[in-house]
Amino acid sequence: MPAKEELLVEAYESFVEIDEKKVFNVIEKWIDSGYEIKDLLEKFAEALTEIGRRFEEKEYFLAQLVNSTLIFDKAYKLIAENMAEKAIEMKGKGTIVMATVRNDTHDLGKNIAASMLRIAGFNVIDIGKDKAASEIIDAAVDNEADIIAVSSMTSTTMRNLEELIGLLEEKEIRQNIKVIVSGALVTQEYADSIGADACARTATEAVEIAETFVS
Amino acid sequence: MVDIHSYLEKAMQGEKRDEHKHDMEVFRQSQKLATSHGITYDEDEFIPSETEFADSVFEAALDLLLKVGVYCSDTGRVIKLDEDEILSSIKVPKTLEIGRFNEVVSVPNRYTMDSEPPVIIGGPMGGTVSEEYFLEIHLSSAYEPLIQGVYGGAMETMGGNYIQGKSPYGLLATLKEARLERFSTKIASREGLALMGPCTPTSSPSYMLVSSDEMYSRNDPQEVYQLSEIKTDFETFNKSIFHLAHGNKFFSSQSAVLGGNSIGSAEGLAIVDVAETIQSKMITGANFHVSGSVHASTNSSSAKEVIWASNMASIAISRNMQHYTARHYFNRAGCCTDMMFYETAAQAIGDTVSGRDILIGPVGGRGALIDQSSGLESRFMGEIAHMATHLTMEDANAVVSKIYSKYKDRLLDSPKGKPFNECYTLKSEYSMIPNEDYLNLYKKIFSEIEGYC
Repeated sequence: MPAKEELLVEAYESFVEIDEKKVFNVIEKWIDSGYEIKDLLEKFAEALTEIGRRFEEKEYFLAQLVNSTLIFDKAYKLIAENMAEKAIEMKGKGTIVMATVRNDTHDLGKNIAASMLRIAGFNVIDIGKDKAASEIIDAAVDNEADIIAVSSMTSTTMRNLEELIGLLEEKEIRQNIKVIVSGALVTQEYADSIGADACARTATEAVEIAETFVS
Repeated sequence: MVDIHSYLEKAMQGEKRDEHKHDMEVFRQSQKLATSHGITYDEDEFIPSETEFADSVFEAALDLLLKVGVYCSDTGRVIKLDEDEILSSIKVPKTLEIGRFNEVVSVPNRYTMDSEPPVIIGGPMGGTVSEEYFLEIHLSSAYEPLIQGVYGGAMETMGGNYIQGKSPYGLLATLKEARLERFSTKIASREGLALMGPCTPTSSPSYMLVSSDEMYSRNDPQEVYQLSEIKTDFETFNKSIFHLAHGNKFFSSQSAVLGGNSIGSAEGLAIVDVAETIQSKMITGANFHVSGSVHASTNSSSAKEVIWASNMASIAISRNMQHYTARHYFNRAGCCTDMMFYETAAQAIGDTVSGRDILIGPVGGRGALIDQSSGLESRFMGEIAHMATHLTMEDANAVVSKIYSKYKDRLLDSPKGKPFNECYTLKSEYSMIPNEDYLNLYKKIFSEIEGYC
C-alpha cells in the first residue's frame, strides 16, 4: 500500500500541474488504500487554491483554470459516489446560477468568475451566454440557487440586467435570490439604481461577495 | 458555393458537442500538439528565427483542425474536416486586387524578409467612433498618401442615441457609416480608395444593405467576422453566401485571445491562429484572413507573447499556404502618446519581416475608448513597415526588442492619450492637420526607431 503522505504529495502536484491522468490515478490508489477520503479532498482544495493563486499572478490562464475545475468536478463526482456508498454527506457552500444576458456573447469574465467560484467551493450552474432573463430565472428556480450572477459587457445589453430583476420581482421570488451584476460599464451606482444586491468588478470580488451572501 | 453548401450540411448534421467542451478540446489538443511537435515559445525572440519551427506550427494547426473540427454555435454541432480537402484547399493559388479606378491595389504575395512592402490600410478598424467626428477621422486616413485603404469604425450613436443591437437603428447607422466612409474618399480626391468594413452592424441585413457600388463595392473588402477559437455560426454562413453569390471581395476575421477560453500559451495561440486561417479559407471562401489576436490581460495585440505567436503564424502561413493574411493592431495606449507609436512599430516591423501581406490600423485604447484613430498613426505604421523591408530577421529582432523595452512596463497601466479632435486642428474637411505637439512626438519617435534600424 502506498504511504499516505506520498500519495497526498502526488495528489497535490498532479493537480497543480493539471495532469488529469495522474489525478485519477491517485484517486484510484487512495480509494484502494482505504485512507480517509476527507484528507484527499482537502489536498485537492489546497491544490485548487494554488491554481487560483497562479491565475491571479498571471502564471496560469483561463483555459488552465477552467480545465482544473473540470478535473475537480470529475474527481469530486467520483469521490462523492464513493462516499455515498459509505453514507457520508458532502455539502457545498451554496448554488450560483451564472450567465451573460440576451444578445451578449462576451463570456470571458463570466467564465473566469465561474471557475474562481467553483474553486471557492460553490456549486456553479453556468448556463452560458446570450440568455434571456426567463431562462436564467428558470435555471435558478430549478436548481434552488442562492445567487444569480449575470454580466453584460455592452451598453446595448445592459438594460437586460434590469429586466432580470424586474422579472424576479414579478414572479415574487426576488427576496429568495441574491443578484450580482457585472460588466465593463456596470458600476455600483448602476447596480444600486436597478436594485441589484451587488456589483462585482473582478472574479475575486465576485467570490468575496458570494461568501458574504451565504455566510 | 459548392464547398460552402457541404460545410453547411456538416454544420447541420455533424456530431453534437457542448461549446464548453469544444473550448477545452481546443485548449488540450493545442497544448499537446505544441509538445509533440517540439514547439516552444522563446522568451528572447519576437520574430522566430528558426523558420523550420514555423513548419511544425503549420503541421500542428492541420492536426488540430483534423482532431477538433470547427464548432458551429447555432447548431451545437461540429464540422469535421478531412485531410484531403484541407490539403487541396490550402494550395489553391491566390490573386487579389482591391480598390477601384486610380486606387486599385494589387496585394503582393509576400514571404519572409520580402523587399516589397505590405499593403497599408488605415482607419479606426472597428474601434468606436463618435458621430461628430466620424467623417473627419476617416478623412484623416484617406488624406495620407501611403494609405491604400480605409478600414471603418463602429459608430457610437445614431442621432445622438445609442444603437440597440440587432434593431432597425443598426441598419440606419450602418448606412450612415458607409456613406460617410465613401464620402471621405471623395473629399480626399481618392475616389475608389478601398474601404474595409462595415463595422457598425450587428446582423447580416446591415452588412448586405451597404454592399453596393455607391458604398461598399465589389472591390471593397467586406467583413465577415467569425467566432474565435475555431468556431463559426449562421451569420458567417449568411454573409459568406451573400458575398460569394455577388462576386464581392471579402475577408474573414477572428480574434483569438491568449488567456481566453481555449488558449493557455503563446505556442497554443500560434497554432490556433494558423488553424483559424485555414478554417476561414475553407469555410467562408474569403479572399483573405485578418487575425486580431490579443492578450487577455491587456486586451491588446502588442503584448510580447502575442507578437511572437502572430509572427510565427505569419511565417508558417507564408511558407505553407496560398492565402493572404492581414493583422489588426489593437494598441493598449491611446493616440498621441509615445507608447502608441512604440506599440505600432514593434508590430509593424514583426509583421513586415514575417511575410504578412496587409497591415491594418492602428487603433488606440484597444478600440474601446472613443475616437482613438488618426491618419498620422496609420502613416507611422506604413512608414515603419516600408523601413522594415530592409531588415533581416536578426536585425528586426534586435530592433523590436529595443522598442518593446520602451513600453513593456506600461502595458497594464497605459497612457490614455487623446481623442482625435484633440490631436488634430480641424478647420474644415479640407483643412485638418496634426497638432504641433503631436507632429513633434511622431517625428521624435520615428527618428529614434530609424536610429535603431
